[in-house]
Amino acid sequence: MSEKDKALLAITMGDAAGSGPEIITKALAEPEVRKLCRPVVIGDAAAMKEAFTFTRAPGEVKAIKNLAEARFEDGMVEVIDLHNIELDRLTRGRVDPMAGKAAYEYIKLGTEMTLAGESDAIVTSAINKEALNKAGYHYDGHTQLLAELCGVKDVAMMLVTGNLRVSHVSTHVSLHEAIERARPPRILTVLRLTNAAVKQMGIAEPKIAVAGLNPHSGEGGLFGDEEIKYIAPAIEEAKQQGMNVIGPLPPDSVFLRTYEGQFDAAIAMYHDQGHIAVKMLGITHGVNVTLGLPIIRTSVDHGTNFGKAGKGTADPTSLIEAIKLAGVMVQNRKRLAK
Amino acid sequence: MVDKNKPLIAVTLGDITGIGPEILVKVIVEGAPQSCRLLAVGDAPVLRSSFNALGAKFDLPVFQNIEEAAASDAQVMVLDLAQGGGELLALARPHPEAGRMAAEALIQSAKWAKEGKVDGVVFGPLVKEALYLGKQKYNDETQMMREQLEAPLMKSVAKIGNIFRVTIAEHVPLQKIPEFITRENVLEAIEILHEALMTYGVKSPRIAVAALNPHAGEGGLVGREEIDHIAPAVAEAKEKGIDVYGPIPADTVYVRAFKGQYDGVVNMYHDQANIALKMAGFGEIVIIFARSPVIITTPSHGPAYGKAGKGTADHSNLRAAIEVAASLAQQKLRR
Repeated sequence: MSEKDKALLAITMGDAAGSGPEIITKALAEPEVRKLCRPVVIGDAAAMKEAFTFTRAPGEVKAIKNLAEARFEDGMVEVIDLHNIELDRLTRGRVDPMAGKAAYEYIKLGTEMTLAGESDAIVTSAINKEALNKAGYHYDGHTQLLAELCGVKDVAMMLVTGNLRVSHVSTHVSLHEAIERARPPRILTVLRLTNAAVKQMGIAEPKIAVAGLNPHSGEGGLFGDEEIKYIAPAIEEAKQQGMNVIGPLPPDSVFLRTYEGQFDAAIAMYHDQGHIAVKMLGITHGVNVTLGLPIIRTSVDHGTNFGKAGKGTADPTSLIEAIKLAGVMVQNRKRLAK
Repeated sequence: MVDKNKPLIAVTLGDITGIGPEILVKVIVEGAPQSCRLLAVGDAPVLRSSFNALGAKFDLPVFQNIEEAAASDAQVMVLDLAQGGGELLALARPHPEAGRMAAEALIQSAKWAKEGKVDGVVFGPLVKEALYLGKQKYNDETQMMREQLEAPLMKSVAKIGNIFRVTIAEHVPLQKIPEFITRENVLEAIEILHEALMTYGVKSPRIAVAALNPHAGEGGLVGREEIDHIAPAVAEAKEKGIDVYGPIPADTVYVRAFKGQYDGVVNMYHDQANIALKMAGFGEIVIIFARSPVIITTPSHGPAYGKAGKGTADHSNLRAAIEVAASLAQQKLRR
């Protein structure tokens, strides 16, 4: 791949009080990451420099003002420096509104750059919701914030761990509300978004399994009728639209079957249904992908890991996987557009 | 000569149209657990046919009388209930007559346990559709045993590897689950789990209570059941001296439990537990009946009609259920 064909990824630094900056130093030292993409960090150059002193990863920080200054040389970590962290005031390992505000600004700029086509995708490091809220930004997380910045409503969260791709019909709502949200229009939207995303992940004809809502998928109406009333009709409609969809399948085995390769993705009806399955695999490899945005966005699927901040020991695997997946999706988007 | 101090465990064939008889034969042929004496309870000719079908020689002592069987020095023997039913063997679908035979064998064995003639009971896989006793049809085996053994508080606990689990609302629509999440029900589940773990010999067991809503409700932002019902029940259990934690987000509770952080988990609903266990590859699950006057266990799977008569069914679950019953009986004998 020639240098300019490599995906240009805007990587946001995340919450400076957490281990986000440290995992970036480690991830960008990986040759396979450099082979696949041209990374640029959106963050605070001084905070990134300090992160290198914690991790002792190979590489050097270069502060730049904008993308035009970026050279993408190996060993250099180029940071579009928003200069918004005062290191001597930062309370590392704890919720700090300054870090919350800064994290918001990285995401905003990264999203704008990507929307404008200057960067090919945005990859986000971990933020802390409480820090964001204390800084005056009231979002329930990245997904809601990105949807607003992009001006879209129909988004969905997909978790990816190896072969297991799980999209969620709803996420941060009570179980009671999640049940009400599992209705045909929304299920169909999530199916459509998932089908498109899996294609971008390199699978030409995705086969998607849909979980039921109730135990044993309702067992013919015995343990609940949402499968009959809402889920099956949505699947029918998706099939008529040409998608390869199967279900509703019993929730307790559909994710294992997907992980084993029987399906390319699974649709979870509520947060814990999908998250229980993914987290049982171990959280170090997981990637969080936001579907439905006009841009490609991947993210680490873990939190700020305050306990490890400043120690240099945080695991970069999830970020590395998020970068690689964004790179793959960018290449396939180009290919599919042709 | 077999040590007669070893507990005598009655093992029923379960539904003979399913895999029950063949998995018992496989356990016996492979070598029954040494921790007990095994009394196969059912129709002897049916069991003999099942041995023949698997190409194994049937040479077990057969008794018609429970006292004689108990006095025998065999390690494995048969108590013949002379129920007939040979023509139903491996029929591979539910049949009322087979259901009746399975229920009779279970209740008879449990009554012998109540009279002290056997030390524990393991019942082979049953099916709810054909659970008749005489003319009475039961919804499930727990309801039948509660009534027949006069033990209204009986409740099933699952043993998964070293972790015990109670589920508050098992086979109910998700929509109805919040109705079951009351302080009383959560507290009862914690106490049952605590009792079951103590009975099994786990000293000061650590119990986790799963949340109902994502992120354990996030302080009331996404659901209030944690604040209104689950946390108060946990606090009350703590006051009673139980080492209990929660509500814990459901997507990490089993990750932590399998790391050895907890001995027991209280689940709110079926899939909370079952998604995690399937992902972890857990096949070997034993059901133990708590608050029962006698020791009763069963493998967690059903009669698996699709596999009946093929000799391919996995018998490890039944073996585990026998070992758990034997272990519980040994501890009871020591007390």
